[in-house]
Amino acid sequence: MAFINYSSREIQLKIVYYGAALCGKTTNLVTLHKQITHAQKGELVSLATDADRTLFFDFLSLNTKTLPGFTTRFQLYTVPGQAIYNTTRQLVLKGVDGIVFVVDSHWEKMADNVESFANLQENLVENHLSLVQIPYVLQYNKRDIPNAAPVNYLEFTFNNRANRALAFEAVAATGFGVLETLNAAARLLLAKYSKTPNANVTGMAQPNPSVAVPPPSEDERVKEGNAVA
Amino acid sequence: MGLFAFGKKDKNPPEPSASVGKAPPNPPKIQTPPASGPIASVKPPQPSGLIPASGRPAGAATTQPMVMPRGAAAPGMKPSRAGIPQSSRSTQRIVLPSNVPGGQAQSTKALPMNASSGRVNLPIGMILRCLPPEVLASDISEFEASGAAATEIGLPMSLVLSQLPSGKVEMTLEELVAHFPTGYLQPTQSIASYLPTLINLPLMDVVMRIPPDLLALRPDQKDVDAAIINMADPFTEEILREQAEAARRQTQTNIIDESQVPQTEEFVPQDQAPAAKAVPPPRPPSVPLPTQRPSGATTAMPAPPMPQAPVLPGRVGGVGTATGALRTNSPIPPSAPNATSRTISPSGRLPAPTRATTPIPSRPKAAVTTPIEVPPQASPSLPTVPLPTVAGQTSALPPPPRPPVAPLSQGSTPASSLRSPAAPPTPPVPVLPSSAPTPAPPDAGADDLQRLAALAMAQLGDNAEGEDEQPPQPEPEASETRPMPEEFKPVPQPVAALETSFIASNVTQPMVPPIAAPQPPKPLPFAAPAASVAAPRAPAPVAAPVTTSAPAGPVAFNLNNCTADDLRQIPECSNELAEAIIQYRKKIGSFKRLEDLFDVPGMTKVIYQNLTGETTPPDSVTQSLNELLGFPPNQHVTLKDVTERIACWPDITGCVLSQSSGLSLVGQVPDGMDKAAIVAFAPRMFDAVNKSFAEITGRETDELIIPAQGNSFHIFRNKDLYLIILSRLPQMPDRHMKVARFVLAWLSIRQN
Repeated sequence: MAFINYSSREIQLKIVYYGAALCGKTTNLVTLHKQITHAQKGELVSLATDADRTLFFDFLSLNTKTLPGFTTRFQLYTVPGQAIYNTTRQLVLKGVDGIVFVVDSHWEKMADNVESFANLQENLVENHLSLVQIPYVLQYNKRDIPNAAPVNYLEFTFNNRANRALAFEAVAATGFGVLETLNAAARLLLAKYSKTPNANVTGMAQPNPSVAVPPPSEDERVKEGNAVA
Repeated sequence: MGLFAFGKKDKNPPEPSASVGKAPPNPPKIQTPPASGPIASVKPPQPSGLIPASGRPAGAATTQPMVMPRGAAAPGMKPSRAGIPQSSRSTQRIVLPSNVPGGQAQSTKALPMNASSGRVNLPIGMILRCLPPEVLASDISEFEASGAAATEIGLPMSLVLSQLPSGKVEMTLEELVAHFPTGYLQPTQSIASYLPTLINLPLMDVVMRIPPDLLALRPDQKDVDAAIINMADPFTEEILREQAEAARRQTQTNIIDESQVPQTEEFVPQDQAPAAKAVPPPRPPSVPLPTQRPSGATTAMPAPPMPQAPVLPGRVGGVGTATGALRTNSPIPPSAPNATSRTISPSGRLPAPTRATTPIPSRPKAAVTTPIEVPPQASPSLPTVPLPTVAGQTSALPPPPRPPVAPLSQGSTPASSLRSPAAPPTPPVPVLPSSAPTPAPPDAGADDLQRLAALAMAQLGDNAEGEDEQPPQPEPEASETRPMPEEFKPVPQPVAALETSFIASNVTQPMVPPIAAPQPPKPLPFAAPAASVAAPRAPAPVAAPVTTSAPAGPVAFNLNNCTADDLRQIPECSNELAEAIIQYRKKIGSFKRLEDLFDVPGMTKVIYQNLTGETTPPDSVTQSLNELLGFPPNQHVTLKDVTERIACWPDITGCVLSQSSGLSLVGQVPDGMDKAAIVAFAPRMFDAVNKSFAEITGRETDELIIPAQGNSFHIFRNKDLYLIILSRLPQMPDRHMKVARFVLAWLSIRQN
């Protein structure tokens, strides 16, 4: 879940790009790494095989300053799409805050997409989570291929749940729709974590000061900083 | 109808791309099978625009979003949908219609579809291609040649529709045979072994023949919260902000480049130089930018990435950060800009010829270089009147309007040392800090103002180290008539003692005292560690700039664009230092302030003065290695001397200098500790820490503090050199940290 560091005024949110093998998860991160050119991004860490297949996971860290007073650091992960790496996928999903499910628009990959979506739900259950709790965004990737599956079928297949999810067409290789997908996921997370009870509204529960975590004092921050070393 | 939210503000999804080019295929009408009669007799409809997928050109209608009227399913044709498969390993056929017991729908899963009536018509040839050749009555080519392959058969819609969410449509041969007309397949008895075989029908062809109404989303689906859709895009805004920043910098650079040309010969007051650029600095100069201090991040307190983050007292972040911390010692009012931090443009143009620290009217360069009656005991190392503070504060203010010129009468001022050969251009109005609203004392008339200017020029001449050696210019008699602004008329002075009034009151005194000691001497930042290691308590003053070789003149070049060759033209700027400046500039991107030069390893006060023409900021005094460690100036300091001297510091129990290979160079550790193990441990520790530290902060640290019982480890890294200091204290004082950091930087420079 979200990690809030009061000393550095930083919130870390974890977004996992999930999907079938070769659907374009790593390409999404590579494109994001190219598109977001500001200094507040980390290096893209990718462990890939010779055939550019993700071996363990990819990692990219992006910073924003959307929440007042805090730097929001989005940590983007991908999972290995190959079926044999299910344990790795479960590990990567630990502490996930948001999910981008990448759907391959190839007709031939439709069964793999559905299987991966089911696998996602299974692995979330393994982590005591579910798609009801975790905000997720659908990305219909590879829209530039000939004979791509129509969007209404993809919606019928992947977005026919009780709560509609945001879905985007994308071509990750060219960058089309990639940033929009990330923005949507980031908006979902920011909306989730910026919801605070308004004390002025009648009937709202008043925040309990004994429960609220006060920001650490200056001395505590120094101790925290020293403890890092 | 908006199917998707393409970004936050895109309420209307874009029209289908023109490259796709085709309208969605018209769905076929649902054919209700006749109660009796052969299925083959059913006339297959041929909807207009529905082209077999195999013959469809690339990028055709399949990329078109189909119309999805929600809840507008055909009568009696409500979509039915299988539940989500419960196991990822279940790649087999998924048939979970709602009428199957156990196929209940959960609240978060798709609604089960009702049993659909009707049929979906598929070409026989398409199905025959999916069948094993053994079950066909004849070869597939014969069917295609005879046209029989184009005949369509109707498959139950419920059977097909329930499988669509699984991403495939599979049927057993037994199910297909029931719908096949005779003549296409072998007799059932002969293909009995093939009947359980699952036949995977081409999903694309099946889906394209299903009416879009049946692919509608569930009617009770809850839409995404509008507040989320309308939220600002965090990353897009970041990019836009950055683009705007880049455009602004570009504009700023262009302005500066235009103003660079003629200023090599003209004296520009310091307060006007930044203001004339008319572009504010990217950030307030008093706030040290974390990104400007990339070196020497310490795990003791990683630099917070936000300006709002609290600056901790124990924070050490490399040379520059420590310098910034030291600046807090100077009594600078929080409301005023940092006096010691002169801003330069991101393009890095140095206002090299600026020597004045007060808003003095512009005058030709020759007037600056003339000797001024300055007492010989006045030394640059001594504290001076806080003229730089005034200038620094005013540098961040907008440029003042030029007042009308009011020439003074000749002989009305004692500033005979001002040898202006001609009437200078219109002087600017002195811009005062916010704490000094009145520019002059009540009695300050034109004489006092001339004296004030004379004092400033005296200091200017004092600070200009090499220019004192230039031959004096003939003093023109008319040079004393300097135009003064009208605003210099006497105005009431506030009660509070202000810097400007302080200066003005001193000009009524003889010229000597104000320069000598208006304030008690403030210890230099590096004096403390030197004193604590039994070095001379008062550090040796920096070499008198008067004796140094004089610069050939103001060399104007852009610090952010110059090459190492340009820097080598600066007196006493060695090749190594020039390269170090270039390397440091590459590291930080560009110099934001002149004081950033002090973050360059090896930068000294004298070179800084030669390079910038500025006196050293009081908190940025950088000394040589001998001065830092308290050695005599002419002594050749070896590595052993360095480690032994550091080991003599209070509470220091050991000091070792080592290499990245894990081999020690020189040093000693307390008894009972293994020096070789410690030295070998340091690089590994850095590697281990930086693996995660770089992920968190995006950069690596060069300093580690490991508090331990008895001896805490302070490990500094600079390229291949490691300096390990063992201290009884959990953390060494900041001044020791800074000295150690700088010593290591010095050694690294020497090593290179």
